[in-house]
Amino acid sequence: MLMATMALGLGRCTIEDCTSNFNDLALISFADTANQATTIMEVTWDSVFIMDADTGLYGNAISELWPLPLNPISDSSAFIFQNFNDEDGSLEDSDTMWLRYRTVERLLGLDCGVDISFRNLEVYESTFDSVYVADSIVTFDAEPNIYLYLLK
Amino acid sequence: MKQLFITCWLLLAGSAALFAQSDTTQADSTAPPIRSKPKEPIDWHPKALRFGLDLAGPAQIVFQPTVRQFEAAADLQVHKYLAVMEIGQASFLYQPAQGNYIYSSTGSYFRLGADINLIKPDPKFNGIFLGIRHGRSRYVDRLFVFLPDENYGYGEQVLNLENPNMRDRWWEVAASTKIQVWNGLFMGYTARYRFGYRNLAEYDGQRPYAAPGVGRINGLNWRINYYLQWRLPFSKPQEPKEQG
Repeated sequence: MLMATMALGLGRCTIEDCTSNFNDLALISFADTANQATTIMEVTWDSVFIMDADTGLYGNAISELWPLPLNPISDSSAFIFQNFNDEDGSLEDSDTMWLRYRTVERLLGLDCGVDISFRNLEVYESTFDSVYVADSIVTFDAEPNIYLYLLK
Repeated sequence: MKQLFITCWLLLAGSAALFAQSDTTQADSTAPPIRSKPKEPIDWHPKALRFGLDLAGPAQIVFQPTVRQFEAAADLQVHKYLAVMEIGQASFLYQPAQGNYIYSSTGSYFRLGADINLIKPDPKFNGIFLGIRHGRSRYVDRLFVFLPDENYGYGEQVLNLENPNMRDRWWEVAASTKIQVWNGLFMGYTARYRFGYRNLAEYDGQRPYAAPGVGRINGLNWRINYYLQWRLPFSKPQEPKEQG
């Protein structure tokens, strides 16, 4: 009888770890083309949004780090960065970046839910001067995944 | 390696000649020879077949109605050893009330192995066994996820994933008891410790969470089964001969 009870109870004695270091926000930073280093620049963008999206991600923002959300049901995402003329509001500068990646889905636990991680991150097309992928796995680490170089 | 093997056999054969001398020495002695009970030759013919069902799997439905596991087990008795086969089918369905996902895994499995009886032969064929198993499973697992709109601009999204041809293999150490509770009817538990788990299928993306025969892949490596089995002897036990 004891063993029968243990047989039933053991199946529920699993301690599940709900922690995950994976993130769905790729961290982008900008650096000076002439420098070709990873010294981060603080830049201003009037508008940053996902291509074909109705809502914007950032408006009139200045920052060193730009978290960009990756699409979990696709293997690619594209982002547009724009600056407008302060006087007449005309489009002054516009750059686009296309990202490609691989998603890995796993059920962390019955009460934890599903974790989606983004790996093998690469920039397969961009209108920036050049790009550098520093870390192809998107995590909660504060280090940038991608450096975009601007001619300053 | 071959030379070492031949050398060992030659040494064993040579040492056998030394023991031939000791028999002559004993014949010359005046003390009566000590007669040791001759060892009975090991009978390697199969004695009986035992087959039955696992009761723990169906009982688990009471606590987890969406986890269903049915298993049959059979073993062939040869001397104090058992050749064991266990086959089963299992399905897992996890859909939490407050969650945003549905996970399912359905398939079949089998284990093959051998046990050794650790106690002296019992007239009722009771036993305590220790053995090893090799397990294999084949299954399909699916994951459905609803992703709410997080105001990024992607809107509400749905992930529908499937691994259609998953295959696992693993090893187990098993300790079991079999007690005769009635004429030919046995009951007993088997405690298993799983090791050497490996997924053999090539897949990308969704990681499996539960597998038939294994349970939750990242869960406890311990499992317990409780079997009800019937023993079919291949021959009637021989009655002692009357001395006339």
